Amino acid sequence: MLQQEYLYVLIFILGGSAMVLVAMLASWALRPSKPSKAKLTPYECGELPAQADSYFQFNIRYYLFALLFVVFDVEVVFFIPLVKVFNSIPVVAFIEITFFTVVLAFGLVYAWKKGALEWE
Amino acid sequence: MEALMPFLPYIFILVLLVLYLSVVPIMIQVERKVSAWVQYRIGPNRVGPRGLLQPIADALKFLAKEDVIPNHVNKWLYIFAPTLMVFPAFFVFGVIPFGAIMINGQEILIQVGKTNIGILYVLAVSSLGVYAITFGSWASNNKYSLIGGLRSAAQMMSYELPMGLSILGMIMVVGSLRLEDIVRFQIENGWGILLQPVGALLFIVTAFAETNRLPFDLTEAEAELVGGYHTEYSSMKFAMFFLGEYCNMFTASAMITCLFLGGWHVPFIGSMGLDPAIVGYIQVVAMLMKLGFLMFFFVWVRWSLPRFRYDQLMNLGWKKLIPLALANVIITAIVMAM
Amino acid sequence: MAHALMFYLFAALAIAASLAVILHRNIFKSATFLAGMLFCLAALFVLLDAEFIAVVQVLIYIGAITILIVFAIMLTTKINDEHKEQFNSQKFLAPILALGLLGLILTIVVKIQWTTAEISPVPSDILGLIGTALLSDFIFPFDVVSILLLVALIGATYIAKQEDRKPLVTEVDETGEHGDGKVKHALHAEEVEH
Repeated sequence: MLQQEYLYVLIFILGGSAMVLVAMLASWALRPSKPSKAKLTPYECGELPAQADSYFQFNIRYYLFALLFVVFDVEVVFFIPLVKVFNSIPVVAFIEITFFTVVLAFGLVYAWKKGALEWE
Repeated sequence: MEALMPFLPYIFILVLLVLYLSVVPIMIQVERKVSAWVQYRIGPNRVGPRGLLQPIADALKFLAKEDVIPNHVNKWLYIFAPTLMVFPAFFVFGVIPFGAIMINGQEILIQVGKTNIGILYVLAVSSLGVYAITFGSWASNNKYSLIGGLRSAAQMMSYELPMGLSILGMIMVVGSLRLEDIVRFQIENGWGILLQPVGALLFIVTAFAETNRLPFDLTEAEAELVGGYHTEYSSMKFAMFFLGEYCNMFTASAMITCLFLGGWHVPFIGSMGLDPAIVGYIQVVAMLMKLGFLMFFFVWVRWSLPRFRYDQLMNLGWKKLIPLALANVIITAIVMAM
Repeated sequence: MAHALMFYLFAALAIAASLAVILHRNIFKSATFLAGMLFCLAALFVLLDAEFIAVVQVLIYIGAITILIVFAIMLTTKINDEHKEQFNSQKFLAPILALGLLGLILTIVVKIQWTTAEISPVPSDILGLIGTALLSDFIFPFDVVSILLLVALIGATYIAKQEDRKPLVTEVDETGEHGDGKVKHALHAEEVEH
């Protein structure tokens, strides 16, 4: 039974999270708590922070890599059923894998040439 | 013995949980001792005989330290993030086969869940690891944390692609995604590192990047980011991030072993004429020894290689590893088709 | 019995999480609930024996697309403010459209004659069947998909380079309170990256 197997994994994870929970609760029960004003400010290498929030504009490039990642991730998922059946239908699979890889490589080369992969 | 059979999965769950949680203290000790040897110093030697009780002292210290929750954090996510850190590792660990032992003349796999899509499942759940770090860094509301978290998320994404592509060759050779099938294939046809050397190399490199270990630990980069995503964390929550790191190392080692180092296989043991029951147990020990070696390897590399610069890291991922992985797929296909 | 129980558990969690996505005032937390909701859906797929779909759900939707959303939130200034106005100029049009869609779905649900079908057990080598199907009956759609992905990739690259050409956007607070400080911080962030 397939679902049975996932149930075992679920039980395993529940067991693990119970242990994590016990550790967190034990620490909560044992630890001292003496908050002071300095402790509760953001950590900034000895200086007082310039503003309370640190949500400011980051380098936009992070987002662009995430965008490329989504497309490539879908391609990896398409690859997996293909390579799985490679042994049973080698010729068709070989042509398709080559085609798919070449198309993918073309996209990669395009992004590369356009400089989207540069981290300046 | 017969009456025990229905409870075997639960026994395995219990045994593997204990194994899993005992790995962390052992790893802390190994990390400190090996670091000391590499740097030509003594390392911890005060607590217990030869400093062996040091991990217990560390754990007690984590328990008893004050837990500072600063005013500016987003409280619920701040508390939730460190617990989330261990989950992907538990998910992966649930499908790793640790060996095949004979009970009543029946071969039984030491494995919690036998899924049909083994490796794909592992890839999927290990992609959840990004969440703990992004949540932790965002909830901390600290500039160092945020930069560390963003770096880490972008790094883990960039290396997930070559990781996914690097195992394609192995799937192509074996024709199955089940981890136990892959190990059995290696027992018959030789280890994966010989069948797929490029794939193995790519997988090991990306495993280092996915676990955020040196030389890929730009998320923590003490010199520039103080502590990265866990700058604002203290006490047990900080310990959880550490626990997560070691758990991830352990699962990464297990994956490397299953995919490329023959899993529980010991070379030439079949021709020694031993009792199959004993062979089973020897091979479980062999699996654990392989894992131990890989964990040691993680620490060894940590003190041997300097940290990358961020642009170098991204270049390596996108411009070298991904093309190499694609080439590996094509070349494997050509060799297989011939 | 246990099966039905699990189904109701995950279904209830999924509904609760999706309500939290739209009702929570903090957009980052909405994104985290979105991830949770998608995870519950993956669990439901497992209950249907569709483990490949479940895993793809986790890999693509949680591991890639939601992360993209989280990135977009983390990279945008002043979006996390819980006291920010939650509606924009479309607040009158949107509910009408949403109600229309709900009506449409309800009509379909009511109109269809639901029957209980005998479902043959899902074969264990589902991935092999998918692969074989992709390479025989669906070989042309599969090629089209690969071209489509290439187009998406080129589009992503184009957007990437377009964003690059623009100067760094520094959103000035309407009240003008932190305006200057923000510009400085943004530049500082740039320096830190390099």
